[in-house]
Amino acid sequence: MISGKREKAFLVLEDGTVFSGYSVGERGTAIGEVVFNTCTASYEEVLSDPTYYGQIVAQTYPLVGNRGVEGAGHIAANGYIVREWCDTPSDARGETLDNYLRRLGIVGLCGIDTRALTRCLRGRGYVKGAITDSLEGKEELLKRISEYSIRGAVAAVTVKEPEVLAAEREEFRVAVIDYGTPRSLLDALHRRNCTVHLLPAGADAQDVKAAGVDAVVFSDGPGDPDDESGLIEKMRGILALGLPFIGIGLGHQMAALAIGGSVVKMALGHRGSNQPVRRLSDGRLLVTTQNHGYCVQADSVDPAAAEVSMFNVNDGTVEAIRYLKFPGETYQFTPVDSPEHTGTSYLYDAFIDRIREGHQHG
Amino acid sequence: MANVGKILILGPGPVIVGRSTEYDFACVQALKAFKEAGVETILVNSSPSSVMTEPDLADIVYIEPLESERIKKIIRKERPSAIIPVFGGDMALDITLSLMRSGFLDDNGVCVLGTDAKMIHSVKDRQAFADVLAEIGEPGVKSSVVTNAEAAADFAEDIGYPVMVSPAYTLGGHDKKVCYNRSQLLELAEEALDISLIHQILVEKCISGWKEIEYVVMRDCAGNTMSVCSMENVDPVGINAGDSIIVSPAQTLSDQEAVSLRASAANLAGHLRVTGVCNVRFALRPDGGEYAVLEADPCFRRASALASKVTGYPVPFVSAHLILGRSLDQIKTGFTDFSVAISEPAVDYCAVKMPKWSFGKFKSGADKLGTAMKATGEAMAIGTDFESAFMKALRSVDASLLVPAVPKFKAMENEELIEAIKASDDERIFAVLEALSRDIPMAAIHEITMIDEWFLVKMKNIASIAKALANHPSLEEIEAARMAGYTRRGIEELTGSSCEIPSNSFKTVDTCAAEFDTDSHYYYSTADEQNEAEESDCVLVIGAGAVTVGSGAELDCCTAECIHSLRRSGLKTAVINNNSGAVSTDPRGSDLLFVSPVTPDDISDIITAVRPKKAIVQFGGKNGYSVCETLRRGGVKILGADDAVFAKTKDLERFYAYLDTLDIPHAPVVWVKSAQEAEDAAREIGYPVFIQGGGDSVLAYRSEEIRENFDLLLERSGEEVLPVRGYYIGSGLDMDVLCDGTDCLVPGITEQIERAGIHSGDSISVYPAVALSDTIRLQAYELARKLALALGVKGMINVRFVCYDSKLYLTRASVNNWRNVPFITRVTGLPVVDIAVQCMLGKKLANMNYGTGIFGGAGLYGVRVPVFSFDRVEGLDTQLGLEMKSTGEALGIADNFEDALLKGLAASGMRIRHSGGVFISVRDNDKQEAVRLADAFAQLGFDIYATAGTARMLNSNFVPASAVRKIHEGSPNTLDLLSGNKIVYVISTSAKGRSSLIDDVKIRRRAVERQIPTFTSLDTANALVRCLKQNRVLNDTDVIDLHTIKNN
Repeated sequence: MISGKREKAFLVLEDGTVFSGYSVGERGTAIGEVVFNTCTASYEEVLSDPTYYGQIVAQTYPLVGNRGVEGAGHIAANGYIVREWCDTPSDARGETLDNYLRRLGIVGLCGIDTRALTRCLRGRGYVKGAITDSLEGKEELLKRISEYSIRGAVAAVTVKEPEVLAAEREEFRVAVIDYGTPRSLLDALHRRNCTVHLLPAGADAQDVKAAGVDAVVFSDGPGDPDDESGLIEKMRGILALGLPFIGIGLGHQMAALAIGGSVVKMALGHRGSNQPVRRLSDGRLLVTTQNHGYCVQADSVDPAAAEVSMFNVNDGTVEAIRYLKFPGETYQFTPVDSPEHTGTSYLYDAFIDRIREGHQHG
Repeated sequence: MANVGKILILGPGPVIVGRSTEYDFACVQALKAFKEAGVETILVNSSPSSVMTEPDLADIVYIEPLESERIKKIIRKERPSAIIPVFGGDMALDITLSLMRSGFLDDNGVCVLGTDAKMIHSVKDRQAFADVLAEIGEPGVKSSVVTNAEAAADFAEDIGYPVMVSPAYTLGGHDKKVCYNRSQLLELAEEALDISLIHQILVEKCISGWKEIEYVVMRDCAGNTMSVCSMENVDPVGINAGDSIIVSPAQTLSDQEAVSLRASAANLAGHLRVTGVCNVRFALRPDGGEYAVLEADPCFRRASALASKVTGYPVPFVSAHLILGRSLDQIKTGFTDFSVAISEPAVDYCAVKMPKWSFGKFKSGADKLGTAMKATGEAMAIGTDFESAFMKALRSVDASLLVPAVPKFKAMENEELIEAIKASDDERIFAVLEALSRDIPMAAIHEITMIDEWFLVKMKNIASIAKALANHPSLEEIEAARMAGYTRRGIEELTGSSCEIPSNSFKTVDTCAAEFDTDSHYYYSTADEQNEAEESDCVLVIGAGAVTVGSGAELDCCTAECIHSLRRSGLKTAVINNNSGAVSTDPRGSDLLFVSPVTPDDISDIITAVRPKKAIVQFGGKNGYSVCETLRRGGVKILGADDAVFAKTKDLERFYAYLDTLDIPHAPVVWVKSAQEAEDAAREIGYPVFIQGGGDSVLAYRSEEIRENFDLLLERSGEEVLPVRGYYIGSGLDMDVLCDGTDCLVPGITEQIERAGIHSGDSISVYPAVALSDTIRLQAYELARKLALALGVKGMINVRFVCYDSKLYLTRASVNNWRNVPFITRVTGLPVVDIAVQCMLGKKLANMNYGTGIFGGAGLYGVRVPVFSFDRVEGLDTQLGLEMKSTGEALGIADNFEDALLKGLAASGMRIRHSGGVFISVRDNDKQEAVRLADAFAQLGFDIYATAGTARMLNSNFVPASAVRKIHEGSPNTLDLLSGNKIVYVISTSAKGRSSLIDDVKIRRRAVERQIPTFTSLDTANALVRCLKQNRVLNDTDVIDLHTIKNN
């Protein structure tokens, strides 16, 4: 239940469908690709995830923000839609969702039937739309929506300057090529005694060498990998250095492109924390968190260069690729880590092991 | 997949507090899964009111006492290759463990599936579990077992106060007590040591007030795990989860906490090597930062059932396949073509489960809630937010709660209200709601209850809406109320005027938050516009809601069999129920499922959306009849009994007048306004007389008893007059009558063993009625038939008689009480509910193959023995009376009466001994019979004990008896005698106890604590004697496969 007076706001989809609700966060108009996310408690992760650049994210779970937001202070999404947001978070530490969104200038919408929205969006692939505070300019708005496309996503979200995040007890140094990584990746590396050299997306082999690192991570990020041919070229150079590496999400897709594979836009994306993945080596199943609309085409992977090591149980799409010529593995999903080991934490551990081995063998 | 051969599945036994229909749900779904997988199954359960014992689920079905020797007998006969205890609760586990330890299973080539001894030990043994946690680095609750108070104090100093103390090894629930300092600890420790049967106590860190969170996870034999859902108790640690309001998913966890706990649960399941479901409970410090694992349970439990219903994920079905060796990605869950069991449900709603207590029935038992569960049942609701789910859950538990308030709290002053909140009893939530609607600061309420403020805010919203509605609400406020789950009648109750609001629509529970279009037809109501429920030419079946005393598992059993029957007839079924532990709320059991309260407005919404043509309400308890008017107005035809028949049979005055018109004899009755008139009437009718009022009653043998009780009864009833009825101390007869409008069929006539003063639901029932002459039998049938035809029954009606002095008197007719239906169904092999439904659909008995008249039976005797949960409710007197107290039933089936009785008594948990001491303490009315009874025991070699007066009387009648001191006469006395090992039976028919201070009540409570069978009616004791005279033990009796009954 939403208490108190709210001002009206609307979601207008590119086909003219309108959902009427109320404003939360900033008032105004925001256009984007409308996608839904099915997680329950990780709204903060969703909000701060750069892979949502250019998109308007709707949470299917109806009660959002129960613990407030302590956030890092950066939202990449264009807009946010929830059914109900909590104006009295349990836990005094955070601020309310409303405050947070407004502070960061993000246009939000609440009070709509998000399940009806999800049913409207599902099966249609990518639907563009806009959150707006008035339906008066609807025709004009529809035109702007139809013209909208996500461009320059990575450039928009990557760090501008290299950053070094030192570990308390440094064991290794790892370069993260930032295509728009969520902070959780950096935390995972930190926990494993790695000093992280966060490099802008445009970093090349030279930059990586200069940083004197032991390994490389090609991070997740927003947008269409086919738009980033320049970055892919640079990636080829970095791969050639022969350092142990992992890739996540966009990084995984770009690496596949780097070795000549191809990527396709999926009919529906994967957006939630319950995507089941099967590891080919032993049939082991992983429950994963995902947010992507593109995936690598399995038969485009050159068997001489790499092999698909994990598949999605539901639709058979590629979830991980193991490289044969270079010492690395890439994942479509984001391995979730926490002080207690989750089902996918081991991937970070395995990465650290590979770095350690690499060292031992000189 | 392993080739398993025959598998033996152990059921849970009779329903008691803490072990209810959720196991039936599990066994039924699991049996279906095994059947699908082509595995041959043997099911053993001791309660007949369980859908799992239906003949077409398992291949071989035994209703036998659930104890080791019995199971051994069955194993030797059937030679299964595996035994599965995980769907049967603790009794099943204990039996399996015992068979494992004795080597029997190994010797007979039976392996245990779904669990193993090591796993059970690791989670049940406190130290072993602590070790497991230490091994995997999970934090537990620091605890220690000590045998003296000093050691307890030392440990407490070590871990820091506050601490909790509880007695180790007691029988049944004992609350843990909190100690804040040394002196308090020393006192409570001594108390607890005394209660413990092995003089040991558990001292542990007090985590009262910490959040209580549960994760239900599944794991396969390859080690893959997934999480079904998370649940959070609104009432934090300190109140048993079974007595708490639970919300799913957990609402106040941060993402980090959720990830951590989920990972922790998965790790535990992995370390324990669980194959199947694992329920892990955590305590989380309210300000975060610390958690402790409270418990890990690798078997199916109430939480597993709730997880299943809340998400739609078929936990028992998946468990069964996991046990057979499949991996989580190989098991299809059926929502879409590709849905497999490894997919974690994505939830886009809020579910609330509320407990239902039967405290009203347990008048002298403590109402206070603590760490030991007391609820008999539960109901759940789903909504798009907490408020609407909460409101719906309220009226699911009690259909009259349209408004979230209980009047008595409105009248309280603030201080009194605060005390009520501190009292932490079953009505506390209303005290909290009332407090929230006043200016009492939320922080103060949080301080006392430790309920997270997030929930308090939501409840304040609900309370605020009620306030607004009572104060000339605007249209917006009414709309807000509707969105928050108020019904039209609820709003009108508060506004005092009528209002029009749109119908609610429905959304689907589909496990994927609408990401995919699924095959699910499991619905909950919402105030939104979009409606996912479609019109369907179906039959609505109204379920009975939460299990309570008097409205128990037998109703769910009948509902499930009704659905089954309709489906077999090719009809579509839509179930409306809210019991989260029921078989009938299995989404896979019917074409449509609405988890919904059963009130006129809620039903109205369903009718509007689905446009059903027909409905059956008679298996929904009394509440089903309250929506008949709504159904009719919605153009729905009611099949079977409707509110007209219900009213005719319920209202005593109308009913007896109706019987008069039919010339059917009944007990004399006079309506009176005062105690004096009552006495006059009693003198005229003849004692004893039965006077009932306001849920209470008295069986008066003398005028003093009328004088003492009448005024209170009249006041409680709220009526102007009360009926004074002649009470015949004769044989109670019970029969369900199937009728198609022309002919009747009575599957069986049962007789109650206890003649007087005990509610029929609490008496032992025997089929066929052994002592009945053919004349009486026929006469009863004719009278019942006359009534059924006159009432126009097409379906089934229950009719009861008392036979006194060779004359029959009709005592009750009921269309909401189906207590004996499952019992009769199992013993005769007649599909009673199925036949009833066919009659409802217009079929004729003459065209079915069962004949008409009184069914000849299958040559077997059945004895239904009530089962009580006395050990669960502290201080409750076990003396049986006119208000029902039993929670469940056990059944004994044999080809002769004595064996059936022996089996029934054993199945109910009675420890039957053939020698030892018998303690007798009877009221004056029973003294003469007591002599005969005592003599019978003495002849069998028992030693008789009694207090001085009774002992003297027995001795003077040549029955040797030893005298024992009364409690107040000093030690050693009766209590000491019971605490020793001499007494094997207690016969106590003395003063009925409202106060546990009365000696007799104390004696009976002590007997319960020592598990000494207690007889509060001489008739029951006589039945036992009859049994003992045969000098047979359980092992002498045969086991009977119910399928051998079916062929008749």
